Amino acid sequence: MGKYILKRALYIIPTYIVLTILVYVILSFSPGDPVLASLGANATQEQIAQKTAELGLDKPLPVRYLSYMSGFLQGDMGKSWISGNRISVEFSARIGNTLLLLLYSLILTIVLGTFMGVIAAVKQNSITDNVTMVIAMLMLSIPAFFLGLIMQLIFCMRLKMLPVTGAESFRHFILPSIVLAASRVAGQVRMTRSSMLDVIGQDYIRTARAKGASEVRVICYHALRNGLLPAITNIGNNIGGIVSGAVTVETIFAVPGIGSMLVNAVRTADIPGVMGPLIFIALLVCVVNVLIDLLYAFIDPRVRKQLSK
Amino acid sequence: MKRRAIAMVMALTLAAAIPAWAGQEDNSIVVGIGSEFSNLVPLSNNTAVSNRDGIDIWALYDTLFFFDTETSELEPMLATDYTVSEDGLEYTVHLRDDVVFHNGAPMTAEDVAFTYNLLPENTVIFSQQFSGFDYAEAVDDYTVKIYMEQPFAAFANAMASYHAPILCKSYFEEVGWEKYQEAPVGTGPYKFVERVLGGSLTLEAHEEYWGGAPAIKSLKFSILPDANSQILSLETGEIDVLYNPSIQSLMMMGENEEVQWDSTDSFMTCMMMIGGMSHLGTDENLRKAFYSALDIDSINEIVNYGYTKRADCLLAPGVIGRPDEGSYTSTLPYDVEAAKEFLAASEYDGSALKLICLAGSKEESICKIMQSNLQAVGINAEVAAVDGATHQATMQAGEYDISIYSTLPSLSDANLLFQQFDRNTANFQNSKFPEEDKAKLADLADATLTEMDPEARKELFAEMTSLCNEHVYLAYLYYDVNTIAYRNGLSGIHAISGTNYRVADWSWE
Amino acid sequence: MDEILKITDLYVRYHTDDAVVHAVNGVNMVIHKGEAMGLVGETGAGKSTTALSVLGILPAKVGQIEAGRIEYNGKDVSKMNKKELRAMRGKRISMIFQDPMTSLNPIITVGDQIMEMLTLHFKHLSHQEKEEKVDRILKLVGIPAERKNEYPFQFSGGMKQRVGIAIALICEPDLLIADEPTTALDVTIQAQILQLMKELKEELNTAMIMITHDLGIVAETCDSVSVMYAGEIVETGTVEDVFERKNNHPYTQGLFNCIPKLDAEEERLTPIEGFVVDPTHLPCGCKFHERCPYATERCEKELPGDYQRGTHKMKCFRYEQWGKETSGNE
Repeated sequence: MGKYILKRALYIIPTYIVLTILVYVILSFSPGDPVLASLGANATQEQIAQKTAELGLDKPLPVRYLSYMSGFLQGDMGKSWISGNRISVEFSARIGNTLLLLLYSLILTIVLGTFMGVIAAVKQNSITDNVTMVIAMLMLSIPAFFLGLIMQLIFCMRLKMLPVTGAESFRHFILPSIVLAASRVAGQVRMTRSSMLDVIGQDYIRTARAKGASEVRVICYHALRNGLLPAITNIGNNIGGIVSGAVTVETIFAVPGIGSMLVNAVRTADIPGVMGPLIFIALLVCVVNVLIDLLYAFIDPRVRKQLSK
Repeated sequence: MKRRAIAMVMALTLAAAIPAWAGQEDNSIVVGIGSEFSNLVPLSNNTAVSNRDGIDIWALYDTLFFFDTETSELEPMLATDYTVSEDGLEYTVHLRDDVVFHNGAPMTAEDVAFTYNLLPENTVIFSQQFSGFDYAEAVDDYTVKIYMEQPFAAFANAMASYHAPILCKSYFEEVGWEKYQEAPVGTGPYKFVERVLGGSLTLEAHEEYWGGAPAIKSLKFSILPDANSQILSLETGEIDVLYNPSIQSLMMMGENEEVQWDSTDSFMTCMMMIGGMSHLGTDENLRKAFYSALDIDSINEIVNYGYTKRADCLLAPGVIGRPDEGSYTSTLPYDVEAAKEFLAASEYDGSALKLICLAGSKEESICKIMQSNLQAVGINAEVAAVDGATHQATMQAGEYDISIYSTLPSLSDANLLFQQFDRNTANFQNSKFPEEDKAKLADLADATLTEMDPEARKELFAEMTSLCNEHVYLAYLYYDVNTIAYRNGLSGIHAISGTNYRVADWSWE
Repeated sequence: MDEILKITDLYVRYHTDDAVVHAVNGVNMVIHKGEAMGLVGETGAGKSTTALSVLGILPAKVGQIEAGRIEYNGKDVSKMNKKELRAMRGKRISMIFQDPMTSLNPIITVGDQIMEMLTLHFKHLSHQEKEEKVDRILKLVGIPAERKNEYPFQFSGGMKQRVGIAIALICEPDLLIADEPTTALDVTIQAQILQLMKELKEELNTAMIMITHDLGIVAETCDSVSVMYAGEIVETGTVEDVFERKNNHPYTQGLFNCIPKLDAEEERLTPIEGFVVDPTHLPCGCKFHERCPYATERCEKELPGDYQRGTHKMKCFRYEQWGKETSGNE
């Protein structure tokens, strides 16, 4: 088992290297000139030359990449080409908020999605099933900024229950987490529902009933544990989506996180500002997926025993 | 008895649910701003400070002089007065003796000299705003001499620039720039408490402020990037003041009993830039046709709800050095017939002019109106509304005909016009205007740099403006509007043409 | 009266989107204490459906008991509420299923799955006591007790079926329904399992319904036989009655003829003519008449009744002279 874990962890490395190279190269070719962006249109040739040298843009691409990566591995994400401040400072100040947002919405997605999916499966083809699926589709279809606005109007303006913006307390995270989770719940519901339907149709469920187990026990003890296995792997897929959704949500609710940091950096063609958060997010997604794999292996005895051999 | 208990529990629960943003009660305010601060410590890392940061810069710091944008007068601030030598090469500045930094250190001429001597390292702003500066020297505790390599007519205003607030020399020597940036120290009415990157900046009143302790004791800037959230936050009371909301947002807010807002003409000019590759650069008749076709008053009405005014000079009224009304040739008026005539005389080949703007911005609305104005005259135009990065790239490549942008004089001085025609800039060098006029404008620009007599200087700018307007070398749209929205109960607060708000003047009734 | 189970006039239909399947059409059956009845018939005859109805675990909504009574110890199963049904299942009547590969929950240990029966039906037992019972039944079915913490996928087909048997018998039910328990297993394993079942049945005095399509198994393990075709019991009697080969329903005859004989000189097998009846479109009259070598015109139009002689009952006009079945016991 330990070897398996180690192997999976090591696989991240080549994936990651290729990823960072791709990102860096693509960003280098993206439109926008940071020198002119920071100096403005009326800059003199001298100033342009000086700034270019200052930002290291006169060196060839591979050199720039290597020096960036070696710095990154030591925790230095370089300096912003626009503000000159160290990216890692701002990054570490903001990452906490984004991680919290991701965590809360992930929990919400999983809990709500699983719950709705199980209900829909158990009451297949009934009104409950149809209504549940419609609600899920509705949440998927409403764009985040619209949903966010509606929630702000209702809960902040009318009911005055929650704050409009900010990230100071847990209450500040309630609406952003809901908005972020909304679009992902539908996928989780569908996944859980079909997986559960599959399981419920299995012979061993019939055996469980024949044993005299109550329907609740049949679903919760026998069916759920099998049915949720595919849903767990779905979490890995959700991470990427939630992170990109976080960008919009952070902007609407003024949560100072790395999503909005990323957007600002892209807008100003500030490559270090894009690179740092981006490869961190990529690393996060990789790690989470590996963890999910390991979790799956741990939970499913068939896989676990297989690996122990 | 039981019902009362229930009512109390409910009230307490509700009270707990409603956050305690007591503004009036505890004499604090929260100001909502639209984007993160550019730089909290000017001159510390060769990065420009954005003009919109005036509100926080003048909360934390003071400058030698203060430019009151309402009276267009330069007032003493940390300095009591200054004299300048005949040749404009030597400034003698006298300082107040009762100024104390936030960390308790008294301000002396050493701090002023230290601050100004940072200028040469900060090349980005140096040449544009402090042109000609050589070095500064403390003569005694409260006198500073500033030496120039060559005269700079706008230097007086430069001493009031948000790029040169006085920094604490001893603090810098103690902690270095990084720590200075993490916890800035200045002489301003508010001192630094805490900063959440991307989220907020919290300041508290500096009780020993030389101008008297400010009425409001706690000042927090909250960064709200989304326009809707800004308005909502103001309406719910989460923020007390909304800094420079767009007219469009304010119009959408509609009537609200708890909120009011104020507006005034801004120093910012919205204008059109001609792309490097464009025919407009070489074909004067086409330019004239183009400009005459634009119904700028309509644009002001429709896009800005009538709050903006048509511009006839790069410099807004109130800017130091702006030529007086009537002393320069005006811009071509809106005249469809004249436009058609110009068009006939031009070499227009019927191809569509590309109007580039940021998608979803008010510039896009302006471009659309321009497009229909141009069609009415027979000029084809297409509106390219793109994202930020593409916009920037296209601008740099010059692959467009017209782009809308706003510019403002950072020094509140006509020096802005000099910058347009500074022969050292890439922009100028690449422009396709006739060489003769280019040279003329460049010479005039150089002259304005060193002309110390205000009247003579104005005349130079008048000449430049006339030349520009005659041949449409510059195409302006309108002077913009500055706004500020705030909750009832706040007094002393109103919109100004610049951005150097004095929060210390605000108070709760 | 030592009748454990009495099924009277049972009709069961499946309602699918396409059609209605008439799975069980008027089944009558009586099981006595300790009796092992073989329920024989082709695939689709309605054997499993009958079994599922007894336990009340027909597929929800789709399968419906349309008419008839299933009396267990005097109470009608089709009218029991959920609580009563749950108390009955596993404890009083339990079932072994056909495919051991899929009948066990793959991610729960074998020991836990057996223990679940005790948790459900003998709540008062301490954990220790439950463990002991589990160990005992494992020993009984021939599985080493150390393996109880393993998962189903670690067992072979035959071992899995033993687990199934352990689960079914640990509560010592009155009636065990075995739905083709050895069909999915090798012949050698089959023999082991059958032997095991016989021993357990003797030891615990459990009544059994052995559902199978294999007459050989019936001969070996059962006391009585019921032959089922198109949802009806066409012949029932003791094993001697039926296997005597003197009087049989034409269908039963056909079944016997299908079995290849080692000692005969025949080169070709003798199948029953025609195809199994389509349960969505049942024929009028006797359901077997289309394939029966003795069919008459009457068989096409009239439904034969049950004609009885002693313990032997027949649903065929050829035995009409035996007289109508006597109600009550024989």
